[in-house]
Amino acid sequence: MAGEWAARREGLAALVAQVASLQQQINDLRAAASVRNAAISSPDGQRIEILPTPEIRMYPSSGDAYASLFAAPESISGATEAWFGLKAATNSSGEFFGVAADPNHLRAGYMHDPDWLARGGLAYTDATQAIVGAYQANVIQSGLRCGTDGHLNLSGAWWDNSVYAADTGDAVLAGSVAFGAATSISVSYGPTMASVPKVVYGILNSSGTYPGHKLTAQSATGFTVGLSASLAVTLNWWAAQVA
Amino acid sequence: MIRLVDYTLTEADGQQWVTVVKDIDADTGGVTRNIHRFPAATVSIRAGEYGLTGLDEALDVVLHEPFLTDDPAAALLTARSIDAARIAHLERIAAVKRVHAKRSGQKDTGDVLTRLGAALRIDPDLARAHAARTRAIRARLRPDTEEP
Repeated sequence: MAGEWAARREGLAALVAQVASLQQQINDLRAAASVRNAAISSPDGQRIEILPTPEIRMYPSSGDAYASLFAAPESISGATEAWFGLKAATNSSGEFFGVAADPNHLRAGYMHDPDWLARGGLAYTDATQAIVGAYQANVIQSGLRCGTDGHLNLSGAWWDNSVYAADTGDAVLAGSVAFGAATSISVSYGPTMASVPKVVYGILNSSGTYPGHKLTAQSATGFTVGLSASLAVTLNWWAAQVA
Repeated sequence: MIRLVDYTLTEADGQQWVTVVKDIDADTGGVTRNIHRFPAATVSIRAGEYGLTGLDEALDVVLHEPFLTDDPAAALLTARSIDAARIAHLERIAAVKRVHAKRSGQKDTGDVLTRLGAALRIDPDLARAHAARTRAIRARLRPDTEEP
């Protein structure tokens, strides 16, 4: 009889211990739940909110505008890997400047919410390339791509110096101008360039005449091409500042 | 002598361009025809860069620059002062004119120059902007000089 009571006491004690343990787990979960939506705020409204999404929002004032650091399970490239985003307050169009990184690449620049389409200036790197460029809806409009395979791509168009005056510091100038019949043709860039651009040109003319031609003058303001016969030509040229 | 034969003004995407036809007496005899195309803003830009006195001087500089073979950039951006650069550049322009000195028996077509001058103007805002730009570049290249 005594043995039976002793066994029951032990069982009861085990049950009590188990209940206490469960109570502790409930308390732990409650504590964890309270942290999942924590807010730390100052009297003047500056605050940090921690959301379970997970996201940390930083409010610099009592207003609704915030900058945030967040993570998501699906990356921009579609991989189900954790990636993180860093974004400034959105503008009235729901767009924001931000940074995004996942295991495959990093973007720093202007992203379009919510699709993260690149628009405007973008600095981008992944394991095989670096790109600095200007984009519209993920399509590069002008920029430079450098690949780890050693290849470069330069996208966009030079300003046409037969339409737009050059800028003093332009590294490369280019133009295409149709001239009437003459034995010398001259182009002025507009401003005085920072150095004397070195000119490379071609002359286009579909007639049976094959004139001799040469660069007779070049300076920081422009250049002149001389022709051995009076001829109307289209002058295609580019010039680079070389130092 | 560099004689202006004709000029045309054209506009492309809001920018005005000047095409000038010039007849040039070569040292070796004979006349060569030159066609020169430049942005109409060049006169304002050059006036600002060198601090030229007005449209006539700026136009004279621009029309003769295509025959320069030395380096105006070195003078404008690295001379000890903009005054010194202007004096040097005007001397180069004068040298171009001496090479193509007027010969006897040639008629002067100064009216084309007069009409071209009337068609162009110095834009003071553009001139000021390029004066400031020139000073900024000089401040970097010649930090030892102080411009007014």
